[in-house]
Amino acid sequence: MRHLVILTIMLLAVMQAWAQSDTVSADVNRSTEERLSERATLVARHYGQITANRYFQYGTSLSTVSAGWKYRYEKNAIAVWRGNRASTGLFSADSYLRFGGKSAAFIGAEYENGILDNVNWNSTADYELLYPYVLISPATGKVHHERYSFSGGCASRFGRWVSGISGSYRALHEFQRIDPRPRSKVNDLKIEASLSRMIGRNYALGAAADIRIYKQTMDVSYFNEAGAFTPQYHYIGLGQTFGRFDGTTYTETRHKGFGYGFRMSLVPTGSNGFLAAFDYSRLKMNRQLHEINEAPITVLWTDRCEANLAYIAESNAWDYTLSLCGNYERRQGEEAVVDNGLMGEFKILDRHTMYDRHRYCATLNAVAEWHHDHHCITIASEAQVEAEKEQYRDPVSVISHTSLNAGIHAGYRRLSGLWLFSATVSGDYHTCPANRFSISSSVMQELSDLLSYTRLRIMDDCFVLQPRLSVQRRLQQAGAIFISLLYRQLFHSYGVSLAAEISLGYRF
Amino acid sequence: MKTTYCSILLMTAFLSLTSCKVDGGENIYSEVDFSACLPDDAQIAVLRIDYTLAGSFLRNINTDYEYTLPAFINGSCHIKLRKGIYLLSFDGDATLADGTVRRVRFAGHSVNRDALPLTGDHETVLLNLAYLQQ
Repeated sequence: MRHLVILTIMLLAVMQAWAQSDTVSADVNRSTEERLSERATLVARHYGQITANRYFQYGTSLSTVSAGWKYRYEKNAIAVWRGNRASTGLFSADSYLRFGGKSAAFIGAEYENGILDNVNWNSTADYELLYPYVLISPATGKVHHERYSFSGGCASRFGRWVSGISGSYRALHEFQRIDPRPRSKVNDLKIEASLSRMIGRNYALGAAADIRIYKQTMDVSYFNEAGAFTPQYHYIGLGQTFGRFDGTTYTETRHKGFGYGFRMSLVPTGSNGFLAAFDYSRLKMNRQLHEINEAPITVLWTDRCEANLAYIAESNAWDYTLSLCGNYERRQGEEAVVDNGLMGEFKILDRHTMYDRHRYCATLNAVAEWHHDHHCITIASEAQVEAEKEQYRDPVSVISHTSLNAGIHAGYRRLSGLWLFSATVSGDYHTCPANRFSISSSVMQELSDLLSYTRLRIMDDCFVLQPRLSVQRRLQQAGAIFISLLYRQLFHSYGVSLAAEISLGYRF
Repeated sequence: MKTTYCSILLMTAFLSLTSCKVDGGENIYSEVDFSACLPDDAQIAVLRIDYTLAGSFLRNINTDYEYTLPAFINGSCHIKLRKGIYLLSFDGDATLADGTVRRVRFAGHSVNRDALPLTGDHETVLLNLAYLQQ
């Protein structure tokens, strides 16, 4: 895998050299500013949704190679399955390349290696993706994780049409070194094909379809036989477990998923106009137990819809962006009725939809940027409403909540000669005005305590303060070094929670 | 060209809507009637299961969830269970039609090998009891 990372970087350098020979080279600081402004970050999602539309995203090439370190500490874990402390080293390379006026290409690679400390009630990688069908254990441990990801794509223009194709691959390896020792290996592949057409002078309408193939193999080992008493529970939601296979025997699990998605997006080809997008995706995920002939004991269906509408306006001194985004996600979980396994076959006699979760989210963003000479001041605000309802059919349990988030963000940027300086500070307030918590009395006490704890953490009012500083110095016309620092502190009633990131790199 | 855009939009909307998995109100429960009979065909007026014993249970083998059977009146009882495979075993006190009380046992579905599938909307199960020495 490390060889693949090196190969990607070499490929990136070659492509960059090729691209530079074909385009007007741009000032690296200006290209960076074009991409890293608050406004650019907000609209990048719209362009990024459809590969063909990325052709219109930037007029210049830019590549970044960086190395960084991330740290997170929570006195009391916000989400026990992620632990209360994380330290991660990160290396990444990504590139957006313009080849004349006919095509654009993108390539990226990331390598991450770190440790999550005090992870509790989680033996599975990709917990949030697979929830509620995860393997859990009351044991608290230190999870080592290693992630590789690669992505690449290209968009080519033919008259008024642009075609695009892209792919991404993610490999994840997580393990623990003290009993019980869960070990998970994840392979996640996504391929997308898209087509876009320019409408008039100012817009492009694109459509895309993608498929996703997911596989995770995991097992839990006990090296000390005398200590093999910590049970593993096959969680099925809201405190319930697939009791027949709980324990230390049936731990070799496969998660196999297949998904697809469709999306449409309208983007401006210039710097003013409306952006609109609709995105639908579905993922079916089987959980199979190796010890019972790979019988799929649960199936999780995840459907997601997202709609975006934004308007960007650019004038001499002021730039405005207004964006409204709505998300809906539904998870439905089916449990199998497994027969008595008399002949070792473990036939599936029936399936029942037992778990259901609805999640709605609406976000409104507004950004105003004022430019004067080489100075830029940014004011941005965000308001978000989120509602979630999770239920289990028998025994009946319901958990729901509605939360509100509001944030304000202020930034200053200065482009001066060789230097690009950027400082921002943001404050976000989170509150949870409505909730319902109704859990069956049959739930085992320690899982009931876990649900109650998680509930209280979600309901806890919280203020997040996040300053960020970034300095870049141009070394030559097309190359610059940079350093970026981020600090985040959460103020809530559960003690100290903070996070910090540092990143060093080279842009060219 | 407008036709092309409309077609793409309609196709996306159609695929999105038709691909949503809809929980069509599937029935996850089975209405089960249990009838108990004794080896000498004596009539049972009331049968109460002794749940103070570890060996008395009605358990879904997949979820490990345990249910409590109500008293058998005139030799039968009714319960609503989640569809599944069950283990059933119990000792109980049967009051016969003549007023005598006898200790009885049922152990016909006490291990996985003999598990009782209850996967239909309505199920009827006959339990052949045995007398215990008192």
